[in-house]
Amino acid sequence: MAFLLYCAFALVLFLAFALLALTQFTHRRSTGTAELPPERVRQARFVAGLLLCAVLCAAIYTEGGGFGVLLWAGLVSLAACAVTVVLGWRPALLAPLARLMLFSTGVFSPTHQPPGAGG
Amino acid sequence: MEQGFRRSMGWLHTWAGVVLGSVLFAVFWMGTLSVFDNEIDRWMKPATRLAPAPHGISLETFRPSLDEAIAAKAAFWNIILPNDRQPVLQLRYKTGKTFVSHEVDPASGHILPDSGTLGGTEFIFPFHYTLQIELMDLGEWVVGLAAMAMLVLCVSGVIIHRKIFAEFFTFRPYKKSRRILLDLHNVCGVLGLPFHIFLTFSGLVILGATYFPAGVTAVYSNPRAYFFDANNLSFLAVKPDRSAAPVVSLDEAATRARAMWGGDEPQTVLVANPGKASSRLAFFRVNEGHVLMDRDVVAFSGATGALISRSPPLSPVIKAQRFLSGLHLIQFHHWVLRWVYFVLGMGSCVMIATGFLFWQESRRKTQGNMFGFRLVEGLTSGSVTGIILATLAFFVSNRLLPANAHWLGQGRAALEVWVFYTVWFATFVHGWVWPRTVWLAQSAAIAVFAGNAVLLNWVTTGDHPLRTLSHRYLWPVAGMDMVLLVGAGLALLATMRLARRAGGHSSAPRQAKGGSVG
Repeated sequence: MAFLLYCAFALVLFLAFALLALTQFTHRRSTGTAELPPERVRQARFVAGLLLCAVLCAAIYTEGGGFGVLLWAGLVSLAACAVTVVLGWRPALLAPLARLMLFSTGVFSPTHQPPGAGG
Repeated sequence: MEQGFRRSMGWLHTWAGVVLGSVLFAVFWMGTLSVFDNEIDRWMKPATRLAPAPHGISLETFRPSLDEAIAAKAAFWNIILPNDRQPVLQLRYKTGKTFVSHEVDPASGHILPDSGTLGGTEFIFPFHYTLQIELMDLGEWVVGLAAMAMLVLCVSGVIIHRKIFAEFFTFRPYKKSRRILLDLHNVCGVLGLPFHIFLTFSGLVILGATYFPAGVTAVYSNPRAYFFDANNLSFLAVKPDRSAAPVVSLDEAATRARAMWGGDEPQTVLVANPGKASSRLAFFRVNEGHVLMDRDVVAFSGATGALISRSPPLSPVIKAQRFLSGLHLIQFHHWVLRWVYFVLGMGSCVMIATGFLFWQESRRKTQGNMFGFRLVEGLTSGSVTGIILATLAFFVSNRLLPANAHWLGQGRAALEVWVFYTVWFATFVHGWVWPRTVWLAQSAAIAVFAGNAVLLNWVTTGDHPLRTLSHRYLWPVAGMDMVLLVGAGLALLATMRLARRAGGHSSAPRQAKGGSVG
């Protein structure tokens, strides 16, 4: 059970770093998606920051202060490395998320941009 | 001005790395392996691969050993109880200058045969912080110097990284080898930065008394007083009374200690001056549920059973020191965190190795025939693939040497260590004499040694990976075998790529393919 929780933490951190990476032009280009407007970049980074903080709080809540912080710091490094490796070898895997960041109307504002613009 | 500062930091980063990189790699490599030192012990000491002992071992079971220690006029007698990572009970006493040490099956109480190896806890872990150089604590000083250099390297690395945020996630595996090396170095360095800094700093804090003895000498009258205080052993400072007196019931005293700790179990039981009227019986609380290393110790009079002392609550400064120690020494039981440490430690090794290789690749064309370049080239191979190969030779020799091996006055455990050093020395010589083929040959050797270590473990103990995976208590052995197999696979992959490159099939088609990505 605890192991599943750690996997969930790692997945959320991966998502947070993927969002951060996909606000950068180079990585959007490698996923074949259009550049984000500045407003959307700010929103994506804000959501990523929230996710990072949420995992830290959840880790401290479930594991206690000592283990929680260490686990979070370790998983942060590994999740960021995982995003880097995916962007290096299989950037297409992150293309759906990159497109979602462009078109989603939920968390992000409904500013639509045609694919390829700015890319 | 800014460019000049950055250039000086670049110079510092390069030369601190080149000069101390070999020591740093050895320290990080052995430190990373030490994360699983107990598990390495299970692999290297097949007799200790035991199913977990039933709870509630009676300490009185070990009374005959205590009586033996009393008869031998031992200065102390202690036992370390089994736990999740350590299935055997360790029993030690010291008589004169001789240490008597046994591993005991806690279920039967039988002493296990001598394993004839130093294993992970007595060779790999001490190597991490002493380099096994005990003369005047020279090893600790060299490690301390390297650790200070590591902190300098971390800070100077951040300063010279021109696009730390823009290239935060940048890794381009289809570029030229020099670019790949720099990307890997940057990724491992930047993304593992908190790990590098905290682990290096906490290591310096742990050995702080060695590097900064002025603080200790200002507070304590002698090193012994400091040792007692730092290790919660103040109850040992007692006027000796040589008259004979038996030691009270160990089980009854343990029950009282448990009650004082609210039900927590003891990890270590110590009897100092056993059999004397001034003997002390102390219980050290188990500390595997916290990062903070709080060794709560309850001490009784060994002769009367009267409570002598209990460790006082920790002050905030000591708490910070013990937290940093706990963070570094990982005595806690948290499997996921242990694996995270291991992977991040490997990342540190990759960072150091790629730093070395990038330095070489940048200068190979212009300085390839110069003495300094050749010197660093040989040093690099010996420091990186060489120490990996030496460690694997240490494991292989453990499975090949007969139980009673003895040669030139050296016992089995010493022979394993000699194998380690001989192979390590040979890799340096190999690097200096045949620099062109060194990486290819040593990568291939790593693949062969790692694969054979798994095979030899199977042949000599019958514990093949399927069997070890199917029994929970053999998972430490399974984990070791899996890591060895993954290592063998990666080394084989590296060998094949290096062989392709050496054979003239350069990476041009892959680069062309890489051009279409993105």
